[in-house]
Amino acid sequence: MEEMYDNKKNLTNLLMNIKTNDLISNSSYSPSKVNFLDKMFAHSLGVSAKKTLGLYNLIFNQLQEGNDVSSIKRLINQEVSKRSKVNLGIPFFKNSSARICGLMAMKYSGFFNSEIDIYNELYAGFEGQTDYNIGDKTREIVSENTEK
Amino acid sequence: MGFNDDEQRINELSQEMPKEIAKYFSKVAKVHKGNKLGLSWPISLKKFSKPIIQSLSNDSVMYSIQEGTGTNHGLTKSADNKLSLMINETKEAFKKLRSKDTSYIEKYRLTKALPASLFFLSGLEAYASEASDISKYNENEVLGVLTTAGGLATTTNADDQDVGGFFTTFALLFTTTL
Repeated sequence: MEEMYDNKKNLTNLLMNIKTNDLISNSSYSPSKVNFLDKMFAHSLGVSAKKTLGLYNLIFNQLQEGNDVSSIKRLINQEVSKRSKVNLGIPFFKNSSARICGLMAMKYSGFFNSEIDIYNELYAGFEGQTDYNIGDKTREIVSENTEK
Repeated sequence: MGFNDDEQRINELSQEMPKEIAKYFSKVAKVHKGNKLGLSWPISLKKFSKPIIQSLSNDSVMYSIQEGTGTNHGLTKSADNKLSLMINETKEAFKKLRSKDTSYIEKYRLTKALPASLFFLSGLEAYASEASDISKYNENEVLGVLTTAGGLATTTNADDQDVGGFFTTFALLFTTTL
């Protein structure tokens, strides 16, 4: 968090790296003594995490391009609906589809909407900056917005 | 089976959580409740509720914001030390699995003992290249763990549009059909 970055594209790369790092680290919180089904559940959590990472990538790229926040929110909600759907190929059964409930819950709890608002503030604050400390700048932006 | 019979427990659980995470959990319960469940993950979800809470609150960017505002929303930093410990343990397990000196019975026991974290990483396998960009971890270690996890847990490639693979199929058997 303390490195120097020079434009919005670098900020996107930085945020994606932080998000990826966080998600990989999260795996270490999984319980160790679990049965076979729990391990499958852990795998589905990982699939969810991968899809979440893809959604963050989309959010950051949209913000990087300076698109309107409300249209980004609409786009992300549509994408969650689309990406949460997965095809099931079960031997001897007809193919069917299902949804990953965790992603749907993220959508309906307004998780991504508040994330988009916060990251939009970050991108707006970094605009035009060529040399800064991301940790200090984040605190600065947040305190400015808190004072309003 | 599932959340229909366990609303009280979910309410109790969510009362102890930060507001945003509690909202997430009550929505998970609602998503399950309003639909035909078939088989679901009631026991696993309860067992994994703590790691899920931690994974939602373990957000380095939001943690910086929390620090900047001087507030406390239950956000934490990433578990770097725990991760490197887990990577080392996993590497040891795979060394033993590959070794010719390890008996089949021992290998079977070892496979059973593989940590759930490995299966979480197998779901994230497509992002192995991004993981290697994180300079503070040794590239070979992260890639090694992720690709081995991928090789172990998946028999076909998985992508965003069509998730396939032996383990994935089993995992998804237990998600709610909407």
